This record gives sequence, structure tokens and C-alpha cells, in this order.
Amino acid sequence: MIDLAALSGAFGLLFASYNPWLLMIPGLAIGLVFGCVPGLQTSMAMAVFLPTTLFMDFTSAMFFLTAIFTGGMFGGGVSAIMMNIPGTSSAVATAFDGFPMARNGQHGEALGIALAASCIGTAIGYVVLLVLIKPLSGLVLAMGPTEMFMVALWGLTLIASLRGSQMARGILAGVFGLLLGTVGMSSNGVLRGTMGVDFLIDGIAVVPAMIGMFAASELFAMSQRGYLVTDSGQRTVRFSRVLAGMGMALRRPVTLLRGSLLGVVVGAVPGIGSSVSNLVSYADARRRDPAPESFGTGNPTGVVAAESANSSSEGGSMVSLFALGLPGGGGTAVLLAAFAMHNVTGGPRFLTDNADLVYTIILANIAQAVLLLGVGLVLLQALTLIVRVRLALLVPCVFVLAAFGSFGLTGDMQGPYTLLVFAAIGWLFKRYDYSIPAAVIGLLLGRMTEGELLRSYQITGGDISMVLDRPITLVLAALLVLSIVLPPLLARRRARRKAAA
Amino acid sequence: MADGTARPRLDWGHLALVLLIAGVVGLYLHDAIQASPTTDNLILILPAALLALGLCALIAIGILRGRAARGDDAPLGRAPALMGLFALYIITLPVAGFDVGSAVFVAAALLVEGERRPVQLLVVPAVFAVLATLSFRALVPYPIPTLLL
Repeated sequence: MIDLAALSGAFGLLFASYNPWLLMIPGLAIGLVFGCVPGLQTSMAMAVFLPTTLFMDFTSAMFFLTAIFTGGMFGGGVSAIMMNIPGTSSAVATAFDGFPMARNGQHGEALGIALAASCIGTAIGYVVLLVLIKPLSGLVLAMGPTEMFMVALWGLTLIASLRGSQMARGILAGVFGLLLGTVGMSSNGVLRGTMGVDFLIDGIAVVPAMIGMFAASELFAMSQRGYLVTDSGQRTVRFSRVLAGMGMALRRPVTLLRGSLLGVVVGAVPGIGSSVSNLVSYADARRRDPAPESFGTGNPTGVVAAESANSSSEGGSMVSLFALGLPGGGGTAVLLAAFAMHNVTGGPRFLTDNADLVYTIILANIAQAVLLLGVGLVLLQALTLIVRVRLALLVPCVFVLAAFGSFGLTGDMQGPYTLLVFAAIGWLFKRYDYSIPAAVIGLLLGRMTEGELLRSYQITGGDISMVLDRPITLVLAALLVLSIVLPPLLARRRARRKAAA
Repeated sequence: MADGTARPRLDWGHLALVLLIAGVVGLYLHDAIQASPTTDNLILILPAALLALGLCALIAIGILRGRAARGDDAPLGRAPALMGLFALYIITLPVAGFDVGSAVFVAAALLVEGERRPVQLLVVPAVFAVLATLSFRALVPYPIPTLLL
């Protein structure tokens, strides 16, 4: 599976000069900062810094841009933990348990878990890519609409898991989000639900909406609390507690590994990527846990599952880029633009003709995972100073940053207006106990679910037996059913055994 | 005087929210059917909207019968005032710009939170707004609307 001659050539290229290595640390730091600020996306950081790579050789440019990618994946988790605002859509599930941990004064541990899970997830993602890039590229080509629909369904089952204490309200929140996610021009070319607002033709801007809901649900109510962390003694991020958090992540090797593998596979599917992989992994970890009700209240396993999956999905997203020349998301689209800037053509021939170069980039990314550990540990001290800022000042400042970021995302007032409308929805939902995570998941997956369902319907002509000819769909469907049915059955069996004993 | 048999107070706020959701879903469904009443267009919207409307009806009946668990009964505190200020900030952004608008919003929010020290009210918001505007102007590839900077 590995071309050993190309691999040895890759090691030669990797250590041919120290210049590309010097770019990794600033790249990681840039990604971390962009990922941290609500509304600034990792892909935006890569796009902003793309012109600077004109003066670099191809390898250096790839090292720099993928370092931003790696840093951003972890950065998104920092704001999710500290402010309950996922810095990127790939860190949504990190907020579910990371923020409750921070409120309980365990922000140091939560950040340590996120850092360790991100580093290990990134490394596993690229190791899998190194070994399996050729078979995975075949798998990507075999993914049709019915398979993609199954992946979307997998993400949607999380709505049921995260419905909160009120089942009807939680499911209503999820379905409402799902419907809002389909507003605008459908994949069939029909315009629905725009009410004459031009902004909505491309649909609701999902990231500003997500920031608005998450931020308003917690921050407005919290502003009178004084500080983010109530206990003044815990308002510092001690190195020892970050290390303790890293230990907590390492004590969950199965969750780490499973999250990382799920991340690579889901991340490899073009158009889905990291924003779904963290949800799928979180849902899976929650289902398997003996105490699923502890998820959402500060369970470290939830943070491990989410962060390992979103980081490893970066490796997965490289499959379609390297093997097929197709960008699976915003970040890989910028990388493809960098390919073009350096007169490199992606696609199947790139992988066969330049296997050593591909392996060099993969090996560099494995090294970046180790460097992220150092950069993360140093920068965390600065990034977590916010726990010392009074909430009366922090809350309006976070909303201002969110307004700037939302404007940056859409390039016009659509972003800030969406932020405002969804902040109001988030605040009302929180007050009446409607699950905000469920609504956000619906919103994130609505458009994709509808598109894949429609394409599945069109290729099968509504004849469900056609699905029997699609083995990957059947395997995914069977796994989905098993993942829903098995855990309660096993839990019941365990309870029965315990009662009998 | 309250006693154990007293009929619980109707949760009007919650009822209004459920009716609002039902209204939005109903309008969207109507608009989607008007746009194209085909299976291709309604494949997800119709079943999802019907499920949402059914759930709205279920929750509304629970509220009317006083059986639904009440929402957060904690006092609203300053949250509505902050929400209102945030709405004003966003709506006036095209006029006040990100520089002046952000400074005024942060200062007003601090005032609502009980801050009275002039330095905190004038200098901190202004410095934050200038730094944020300049940083984002450097990072974001679009022109950001500003009044002074």
C-alpha cells in the first residue's frame, strides 16, 4: 500500500532544507488565533495568507498552509471551551462538554484534553492517509448520494441524542433547524422561503447563525456572574492542569482511536468533512458510554471524541485533494489554489507522478502534530487570559468580535443580521429549554441532507430496492441501525446481570 | 394565597414561542408548495414541516393544560436590555460603522452592567473598538464599513 521508494525520497525532501520547517510554527500560531476568534474560519486564514506563499517553493507553501489548517482545527476548540462559541463549525461538539467543564472550573483540563486529542487525532489522520491514500481514493469515488445521505443521517441521529431533558422540544428544535437549513435555492433550482430577501438565495449563513445561537444562549444570561470561572482561585490556567487534561485524554485510548478513525473516513467524503465528523464521533461516543446522560454536563470523553475526530478529518480531507484533485471543503480549496499558483496540477496523475512529494507533505503534517503540542502549550497561557476579564466587559466584546467575524464571513451585512436573528432565537430557546445543539446540527445538515436525499430519489427513481445494489450504503445503514439499537440493548443486559448478581 | 391545588399560571411566553415556530414553519411550507408542489421540491420539507407542526401542537396543548415543564423562571435580569442594545448595534452598523458602533455598544453594555468609572466607560471601549477594527481590516479581504477610521 505504501510506495517505499517514494517514502524514502520523501524523507530526503523533508530534511533537504530547514527553511520549510521554520514556516510551520508561525503557520500553527496563525491557525490557532484564527480558529479561536468566533467567525474567523481556518479556510479564511489560509486564503488571507495564500498570496505570501507566492514567494515560497511548493513544499514550503504546503508546509505553511497545512500548518495553518492544523492550528485552526485546535483553535476552534479553544473558544468552544472558553466561551461556548465554536470558533469553527468543526468544533460544535467540543462545546457540548468543553464549556460545562470550563464552568466547573476545569478549563485547564478541558484545554489539555482538546490539545492532546487534536495532536493525536492529526497524527493518526495523516498516518492513515500515508498508508491508505490509494484505497481511500477508490472509496471516495464510490461514494454516491445514497452513501452521503446515510452519513448525513448518522449526523442527524445526534438530534435525538442531544434533545435535552424535554424530548418534544429538543426534536422540534432539531427539525426547525433542519428546515431553516434548507431555505434558499434548492439543489433542484427551486427558490423557497426567502420571503423576497436576496441574502437568503444562497441559504442562511450557517456559521454566523451558529455563533449567534451558541453565544446568546449563554453569554447574555451570564454577564452578571462576575467572571467566567466563579472560583477566583481557579482563574489561572496552570500548566499542571493542562497536563492533567492531556493525561485524561490519553486514558481514553479507545475513544481517541475510534474518533480519529471516524474523522478520517468522514473527513474524506467531499463536502462533508470536519463539520460532520466531530458530530458523528460525539454521537458514537455518547451511545457507547455507560452513562450517556453525563454527556453535555462536562464529560471529558465528549471532548476527546469531538476533538480527535475534527483534527483527524484534516488528513481525510486530503484524500480527495491528492488523489482526485478535488477540494472537499474550504481549506482544501485554498490548498488547490496553492497548487495552481505553483503550477502543480492535482488529480490522479499527481499522486502517481509525485508520490514522494505527497508523502513529504503527509510526513510534515505528522511532524506538525508534535509541534502543535509545543505551540499550543505556549499560546494557551495567552489565549486563556479571558477567564480573568470581567464578564460585564467580556460579553459585549465577544459579541463585537462575532459581528466583525460574521461580516468577514459573508462580506456584507448578511452575516451580522443573521447573527442578530439567531442570537434572539438562541436566547429564547435557552429560556424555554429547547436544545440549541440539536437546532445547530439541523441547520448544519439541512441543505446536505435534502440534496443527497433528492439525488438518491432521482437515481433510484423512488425504487428503494435499488439501494440493495449499493453495498457501501447497506453497510453504512447496518452500522447506523446497530449503533442505535445495540447500546440500549447492551445497557439493559448489563443492568439485568447486575440485578441478578 | 397559593396552595397545592391552585391552577398553574399559563406560560404565555412559551406559548408565544411555540406559535411563532409553528407560524414560521407553516409559512415556509406554504411558500415551498407555492414555489413547486413536486416530490423533488418537498421530499424533505413536507415531512419535516408536518413533524414540526405536530410537535408544536403537542407542546401547545401541554402548555394550555398546564402540564408542560415551565421554562427558565429565573429573573430576566439585564439580558433583555443587552439583547436590545445588541439589536440596535447591528441595525445601526451601516450608519455608525464598525468603529464607532462597536465602541458605543461596548460602552452602553458596560453602563447597563452598572459600570460608572469614566476610564472604563470611555477609554476601554474606544481602545477595543480601534484595535478590533484595525485588526479585522487587515485580515478580512472586504472593505469594512467605518465612520471615522
